[in-house]
Amino acid sequence: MSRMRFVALFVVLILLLPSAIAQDEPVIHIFNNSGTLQFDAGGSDPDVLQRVQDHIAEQSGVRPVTIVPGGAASATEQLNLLLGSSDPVDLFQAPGNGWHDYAMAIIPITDLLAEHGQNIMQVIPESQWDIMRNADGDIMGIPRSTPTSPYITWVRQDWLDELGLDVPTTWGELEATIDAFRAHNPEAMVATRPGDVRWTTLGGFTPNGHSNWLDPDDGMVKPWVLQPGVRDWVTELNSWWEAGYFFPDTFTRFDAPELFRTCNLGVWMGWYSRITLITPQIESGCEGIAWARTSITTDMGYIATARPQNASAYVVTRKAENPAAVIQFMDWVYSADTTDNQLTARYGIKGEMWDYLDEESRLVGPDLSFGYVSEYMLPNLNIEIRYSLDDPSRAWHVEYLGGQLIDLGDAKWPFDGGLAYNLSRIADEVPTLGDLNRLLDEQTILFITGQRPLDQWDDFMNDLERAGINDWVKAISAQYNELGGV
Amino acid sequence: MSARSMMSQRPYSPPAANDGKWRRLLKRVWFYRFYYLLALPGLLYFIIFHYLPMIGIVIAFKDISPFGGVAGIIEAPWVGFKHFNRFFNSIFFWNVIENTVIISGLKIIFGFPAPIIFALMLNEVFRVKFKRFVQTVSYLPHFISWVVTTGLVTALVATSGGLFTEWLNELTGERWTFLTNPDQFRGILTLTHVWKTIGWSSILYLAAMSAIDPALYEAAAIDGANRFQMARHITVPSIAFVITILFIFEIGNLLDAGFEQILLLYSPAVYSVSDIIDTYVYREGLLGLKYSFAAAVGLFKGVMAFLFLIAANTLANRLGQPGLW
Repeated sequence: MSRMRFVALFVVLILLLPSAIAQDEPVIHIFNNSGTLQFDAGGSDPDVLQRVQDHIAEQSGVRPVTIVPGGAASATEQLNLLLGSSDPVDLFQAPGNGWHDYAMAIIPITDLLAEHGQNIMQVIPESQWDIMRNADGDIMGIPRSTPTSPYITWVRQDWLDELGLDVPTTWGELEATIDAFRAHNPEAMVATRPGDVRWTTLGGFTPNGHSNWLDPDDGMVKPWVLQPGVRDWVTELNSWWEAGYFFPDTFTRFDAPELFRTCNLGVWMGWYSRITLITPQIESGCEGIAWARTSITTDMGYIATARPQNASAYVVTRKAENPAAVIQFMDWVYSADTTDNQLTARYGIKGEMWDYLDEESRLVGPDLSFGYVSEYMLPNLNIEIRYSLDDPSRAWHVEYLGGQLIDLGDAKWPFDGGLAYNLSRIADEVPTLGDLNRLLDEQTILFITGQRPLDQWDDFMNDLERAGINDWVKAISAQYNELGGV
Repeated sequence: MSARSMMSQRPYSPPAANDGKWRRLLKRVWFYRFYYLLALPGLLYFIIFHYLPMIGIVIAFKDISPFGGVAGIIEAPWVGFKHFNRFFNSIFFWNVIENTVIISGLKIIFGFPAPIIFALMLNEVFRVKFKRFVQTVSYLPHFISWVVTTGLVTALVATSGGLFTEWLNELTGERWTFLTNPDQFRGILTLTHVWKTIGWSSILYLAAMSAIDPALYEAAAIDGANRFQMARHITVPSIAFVITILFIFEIGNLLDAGFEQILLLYSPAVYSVSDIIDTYVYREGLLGLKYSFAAAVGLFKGVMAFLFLIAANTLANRLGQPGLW
């Protein structure tokens, strides 16, 4: 073959190649900011990922391509830039104020759900769709969150056993337990996070906990900070800080797994998965470590506040070239008849990367050695609780999801929990909302850590007024009344 | 054939007096066409990447939707100075400005002279291998990202378990809280900045020093000057023009107080001393989807930086130093 003919043949082959490998399935692009990949930003092994993608495309009829966020902290920033660009993105999880913030970038999916989303509608209870509807009654997204009680106080069961103590049930008993822990181990600490501490403890000092509340004096709905008792809460936590109970970095940035690895954490007041996911990882280094979930009360009631469903949702973008395919894929993952699909999205190819150890009880045995890190998993508690896991690193976590996490019995239910506020509209009506949030985040920490004297509490209230908290009260109250109250 | 040699064959002759103004200009441009050609890529770069994007300033005066694209910007309603007013009326306006200027000021006060002193010291080192070793080591932090740097800083000065903090706690018997104490946080920012930039910033000074005529040092030595006197009376005056120009640049960047460094290190406990214009804009604009507001604050910052630059340049000229123009 002459050189010219060879070159011509090569060119023809190159031109034909794309059509030869063309895929029949519609392709959808998922920005997976659901939190699944926050510790696996590097993604799966490319070959394994391709195989899982091919398998899902064959099973679902849709080829999903996942965009992995570079890191949990910057995922929202990446998403916002992606939506403003010409790059394809069809599906993402609306963070922040939920779908309201992204109303201009997404499409209603009522008709698509009716046509392609029977499984989704069946799996997610009717009560969880209200918050997804816009003023016209259209469904704007698939609910991501459900009512849960994730902010709980945990104490070290192994230390309680060692000291012959019972699990504390009152605030006073909790303090006595911490004192006993510290006498037993001078390094023993209490840890929380700036965002968690209100949820885990405010209920013990205020009538409504970490929640808006209705002021009977003027009939207005007000934010948590204006409740009677908040100053007592700050004073009490300040006394804990002064007594040295808290881990010194608890109100700044810290690496939670590293903190747990010290084995000196005696009390954790925060997000449940720090306990259920980190503990199995550190068990070998902290011999006998075990945790007890508490149900602590004061004379004001439970100290924890439950977390109502919010407007966080899986949404379909305006840019989506084939919105029906997006819903078709989600419907496949959320299959009502089988857990196979969600487990395929979570663990990869069935029979190879995972399988049922007991099909009837849906006990699953995953093989994590393949290096697939769940790019196609789009979690929702309604489907996550349908199986149990034979994986020591996650079995407790999965079991917890289906049990104690959704038990709202030992936490205060927020006064207006579940009311479908349009927080995006409130942000527009209260231009200083960012300032108010900074004041709340910053000043409560300064009071707790003693960097601002408690006798300046009234000045703080004045600062809130100057920053426009009354506009916030008016905006929330207006929406509360529009929604018909509770 | 080079432009110079081509033009040297036919010397430039001034256009005739009866030529029109534009005709004379065109003739001149044509004569120097190869020089203009050389400058063209640079000009295009600045036009495309620095001047055309300035059209985006309009969004500071509009209420745009972040997802509307170019059409959204065009169709968005004009709102005048609404976003500027919001920033100026923010309860944190002065706090954010104060933090920006103080942190930048600290970085200039400690971070600007540090590489000069470092370069002067290196200039006195005669052991070439040692000098190169020190230079290389000092350049390394420049290549470490802020993410890694802040990780190192946290490992050193975290309240619990920080190597330096634990040592200091032992030594003083007190509990040190560098990252949560508003009195100490800016010190950490400044120290980290100096550590990261001292080596790399000294390169220009070292380059300027290498151009100093050795005869000056020889003459000074004959006159009995010691090393310190030579540095003071020869080296420093010889690099004064570089110092001046870099100082003007520093002043122009006064409102860039180190976004990435602060974002990675700060927490609510130290917002009062560390929330700068850029972190404020990041929270409100990029995360809060208020792009118009972010653009307004960015424009304000740009205008202020421009005024600072002019002021610094004027000052330099009045002090007899060569400015930027």
